[in-house]
Amino acid sequence: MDLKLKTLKSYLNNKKSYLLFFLLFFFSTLLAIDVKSYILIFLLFFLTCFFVFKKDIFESTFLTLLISLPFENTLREWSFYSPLNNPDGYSFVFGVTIKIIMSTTLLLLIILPKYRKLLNIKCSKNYLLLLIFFALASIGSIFFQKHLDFVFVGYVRLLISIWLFFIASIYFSQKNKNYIFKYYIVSLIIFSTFVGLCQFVKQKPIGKFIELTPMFSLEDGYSTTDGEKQYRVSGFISHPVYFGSFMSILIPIFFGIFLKTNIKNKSVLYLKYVYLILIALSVLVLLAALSRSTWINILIIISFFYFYIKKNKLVIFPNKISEKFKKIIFLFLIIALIPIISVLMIRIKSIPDLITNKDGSVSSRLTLAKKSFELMSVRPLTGVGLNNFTFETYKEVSSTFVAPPHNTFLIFLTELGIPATLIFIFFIFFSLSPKTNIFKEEPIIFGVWVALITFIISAQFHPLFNIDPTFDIFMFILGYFSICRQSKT
Amino acid sequence: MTILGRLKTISYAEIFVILVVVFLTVFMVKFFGRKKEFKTIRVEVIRNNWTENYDPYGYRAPFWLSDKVKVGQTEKSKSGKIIATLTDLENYERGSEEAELYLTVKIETLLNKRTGVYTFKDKPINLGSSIELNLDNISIVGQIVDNNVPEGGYPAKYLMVTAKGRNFESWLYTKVVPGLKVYNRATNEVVAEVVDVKLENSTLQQIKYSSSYLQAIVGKDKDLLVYVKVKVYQMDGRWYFMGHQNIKIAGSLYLYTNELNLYGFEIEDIKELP
Repeated sequence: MDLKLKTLKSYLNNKKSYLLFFLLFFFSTLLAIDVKSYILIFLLFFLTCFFVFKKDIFESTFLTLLISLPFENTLREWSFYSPLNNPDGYSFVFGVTIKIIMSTTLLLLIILPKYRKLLNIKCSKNYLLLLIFFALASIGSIFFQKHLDFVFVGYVRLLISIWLFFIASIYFSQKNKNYIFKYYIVSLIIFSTFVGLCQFVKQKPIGKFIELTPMFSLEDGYSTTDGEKQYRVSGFISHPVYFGSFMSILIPIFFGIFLKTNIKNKSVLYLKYVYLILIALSVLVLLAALSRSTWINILIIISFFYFYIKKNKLVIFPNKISEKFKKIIFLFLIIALIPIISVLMIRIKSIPDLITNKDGSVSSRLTLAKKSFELMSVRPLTGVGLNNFTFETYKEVSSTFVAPPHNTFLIFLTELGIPATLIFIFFIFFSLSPKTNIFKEEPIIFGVWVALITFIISAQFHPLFNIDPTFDIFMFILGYFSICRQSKT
Repeated sequence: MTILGRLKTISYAEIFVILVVVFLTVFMVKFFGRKKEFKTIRVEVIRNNWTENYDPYGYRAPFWLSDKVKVGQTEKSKSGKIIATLTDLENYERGSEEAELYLTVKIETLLNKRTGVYTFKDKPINLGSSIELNLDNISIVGQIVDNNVPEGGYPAKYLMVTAKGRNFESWLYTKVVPGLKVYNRATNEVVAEVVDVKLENSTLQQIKYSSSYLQAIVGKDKDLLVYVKVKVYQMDGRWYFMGHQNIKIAGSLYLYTNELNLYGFEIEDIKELP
């Protein structure tokens, strides 16, 4: 008994146990059948962190926040319609999520003397820019807007996103915490790929609670609306577009982890093959979301990593591995991608329709963008207020496409005003300015950088802010990236 | 380290923070508590102006709409979940190209525990509230005439109603014969059937004025007595026939059969049938 306990303790002290721990809890979310069981899973996670892994309250809360980041299931939610009470207009849902609760807890914990020392991180330019952005957004939101209830929920969302950036920086500024990020990404991509593959094979949602969020919860799943009707994989993010953005973030980071994996050890070599298969499957799942904007992301990921490997002369696999084995692996990769090819061919046929259809995706986006610029010229300094765009434009845009501008930066420009948006753009620019010397040593950091770039690209085509978990993930990973850059320079 | 040992590592400040967060969460959930409940309501389809033909009673559903409404049709939310199911339907003719529709619909409502108000698609479900339904892509606008339909439906029974119609055109008397039926068009159920018909000399006297004297003309007009077996249901203590016709002595009876419409009958007698 003592020997077993000692073995268990030594395993728990091993960092690799976190991979299994995260995986176990991600997969346990599939067991949630309602809100109560959903909350129970996260509560168990928190208690395991505290009692089994002996993390303090702050770290247990942070890890629970980490696990809860991609999920938008709520304990209580409220529907907002613009125009007011008109279900034919634009509507969105705001709710109390686990990540809001965890973020609030961390915000309260960080002011305690015990944890205040964690705030001693080097304050760089981009942190100041983010704070200025927050200040401008706050002033604009609080003092100059109508429909304050709509503005309030948008403001809470913005506040949480900004806090996620800082809390990621605070946590990962501590020594020896990078492994948490690595195992988190690996477990998350395994879980996301699993859920996506199940949906792709079934050609419908697998019928789990986490697949249905208050905002996006079509029980039959989403299908394409132009061209031939095809089912679109949406994972547990619940909408294919956001799932595509989400996978576009995970894949390059995971590829960085793949490149980092040391191949000197033979057992690890086979792990690299497993990683490669996982990358192929995750790309398949990404393609199965049938989000055309993610094709650009895939091209970006491939080209960036191609030049990265070439420039740094990285050896992915040693030559001594038999050619026969390599061929088997590549054959497997091709076979894994075959099911998606026919699906993609049909989707490609819908591309001409994008341009010719007057009520299609492109035309509607251009109409919204045009309206966005018009509104911006009316309220350039403070914007029309968060979530107020659809109030201003309901009667004027196509009645079939009442929505915010399908460009995250245009949303900020229209709803927060030009000064706040410019500051945010500068913040992004300074946060993402590449550091080639760090990238050379750390493929994972390069992968993170590429992931953040893919989000910026996705943000040009989709409203990735108020109702999308990937903005939270973007800010969180940006916080991690910022602190890694600082610590390496 | 034991569980107790781990708990001892938590400071009072941390306990306070956790309690505050738990309290705030529970407060938000309970204070803004909403409970999903299915309710069965009765809706009278009225008020939407399909044809722009004004009717002082309110607009009725045209046949091209009423004939498409069927029991079992559903409305789904944006999430694909069924939020309304048509469980019963009464569809009566009204003598013109319109139908009187009464829907019994089971809807998914949200009860706001603070205010006690049930809402459907964010609109309150009060008695008299208007409601918009989209049952299998059929848009229906109506008024809630009962927001708490009893399980199993309303109590129903059959009555033998004796009703008298006066001063009809003589050609009509030959057309009103036993066997005329009134149907619920939704279910083809017979809700009224003329069992017997009698023609009587009218009890009304017509006074004819001539230049020199007043003369009563007796026996000119006929009264048509019909014996009709009707199905009535009880709502709030009153017995109704064909939706809104309240069956009482001296009240009116209108019969819309497939062959002819009978207006303006006066109820003389009501007997309950076993």
